[in-house]
Amino acid sequence: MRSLRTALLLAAFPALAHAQQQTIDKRFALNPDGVVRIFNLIGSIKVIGWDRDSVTLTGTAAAGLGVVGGGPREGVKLMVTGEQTSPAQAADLVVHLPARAWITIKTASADVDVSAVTGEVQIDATTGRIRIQGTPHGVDAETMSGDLEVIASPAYLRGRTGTGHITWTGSSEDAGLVTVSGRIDINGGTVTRGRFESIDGNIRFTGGVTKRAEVVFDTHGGDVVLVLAKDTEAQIEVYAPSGDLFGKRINMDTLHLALARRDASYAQAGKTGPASPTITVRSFKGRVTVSLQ
Amino acid sequence: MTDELDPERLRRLLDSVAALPRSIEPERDAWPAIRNRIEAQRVRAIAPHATGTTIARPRRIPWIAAASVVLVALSSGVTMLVLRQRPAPEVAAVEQPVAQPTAVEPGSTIPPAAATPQVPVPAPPRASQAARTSVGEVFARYDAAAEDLSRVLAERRARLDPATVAVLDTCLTRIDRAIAEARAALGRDPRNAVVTELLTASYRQKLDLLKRVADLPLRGT
Repeated sequence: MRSLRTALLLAAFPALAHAQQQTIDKRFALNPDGVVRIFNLIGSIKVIGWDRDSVTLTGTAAAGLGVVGGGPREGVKLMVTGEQTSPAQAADLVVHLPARAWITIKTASADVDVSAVTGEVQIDATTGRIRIQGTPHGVDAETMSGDLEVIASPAYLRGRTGTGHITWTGSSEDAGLVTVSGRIDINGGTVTRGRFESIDGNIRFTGGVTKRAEVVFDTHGGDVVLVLAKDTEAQIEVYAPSGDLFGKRINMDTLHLALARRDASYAQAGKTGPASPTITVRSFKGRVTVSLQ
Repeated sequence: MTDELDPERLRRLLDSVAALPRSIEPERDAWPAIRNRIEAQRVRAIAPHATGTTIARPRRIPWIAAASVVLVALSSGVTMLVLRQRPAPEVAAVEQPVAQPTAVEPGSTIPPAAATPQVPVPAPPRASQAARTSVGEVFARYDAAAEDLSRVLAERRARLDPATVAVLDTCLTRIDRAIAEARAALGRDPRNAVVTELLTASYRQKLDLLKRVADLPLRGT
């Protein structure tokens, strides 16, 4: 009841809310490849990598919240403590840390922004939006209803949403993006091992594949659009009830087994052989469109 | 490869999966301890510059790891069964004409198989009744695992953020609809390997989503 009263009061008097903010300024030593764990349910988390062996935590937090942190040089935990159940109980954190650090972030609705890092990034959000850019070695990010945006080319990439949209701009040796009903947009680079799945979200891939690629698109009801790089050489297998192949350099040489109408399409782009990269698209009831740039 | 597809090995794999400890039923014994551990992690303030403490690399709670093992085993089983149903030998046996690459003009639509009679149509896949039954068993185990995890959701539902619960329910409804449609299609065409793979993917999504419930923050913590 008290928190409700406080929330109403803060909503009615923004100036009062500002006055009740507390300023955060903490510093910790950390090895360049140390671990940093950040826990903040509501508000925002901004993480910026830098070329120093230290962590700084700045920002603001609502009155009544605790912001604690610490740990040995191998790892630091940064946590917001106290009840965080409404926007009035938010904490906006800005964390500078060694670029190579291993970062794990857990939040509910806070928006997360990570940049200029080169280590591993693991983010677990519920409704918060996630944005990652820079050169992380690995990314594993999940948000249930928030959007996920990755502008990076990590060695491995794992991204999951429930209803949020996923946007990835970059390349990877090993990428897996999964959503239930969000949209998946992949822009730009190349993929070696890729798996992109949705239940009924649409998937759009614009880019290329490496010479030993194995890329799979699975969706139950979403549409899949592939706009392949013009120099793509790959075997393309499409299993879908309907679809289109565009472009003079995509050649259908066989037609094969069926899904709904017992017709899946085997096509090829460029010159292919037995060891050619493969692109497989399976859609239960969505439409598949493949074209070359 | 042939050895991997041996039905007896598949049977043994399924038996092994069935014999796994029931650690994915956290609501009985394991869950309270795990929950306490999660709660403890959430509320414990770390003293600045605490000495003698170590920060471990991030890791998942044990029962999720156990559930993942079950999931991997189930997925592997289904994949092998699906592979077994594939018509590769028959297709290979059909002499393929030397295909003259036919340029597809922009805007052309994939023609149905019936419109291209010159293309050899593969013989129906030789999926044994036993293999089909095994696929059914595997999906039944997916259902059982999902049911177990759904109980965790039911337990935590009241303490989860209502907006999050709404998103969860929306996602589960969509996944269940997809599963139902794929299962109906498999009922009509039990040997359809593509539908089997899509169905497996839908189940995987469902289990992943339900496992995630254990990680969601509870209100008032």
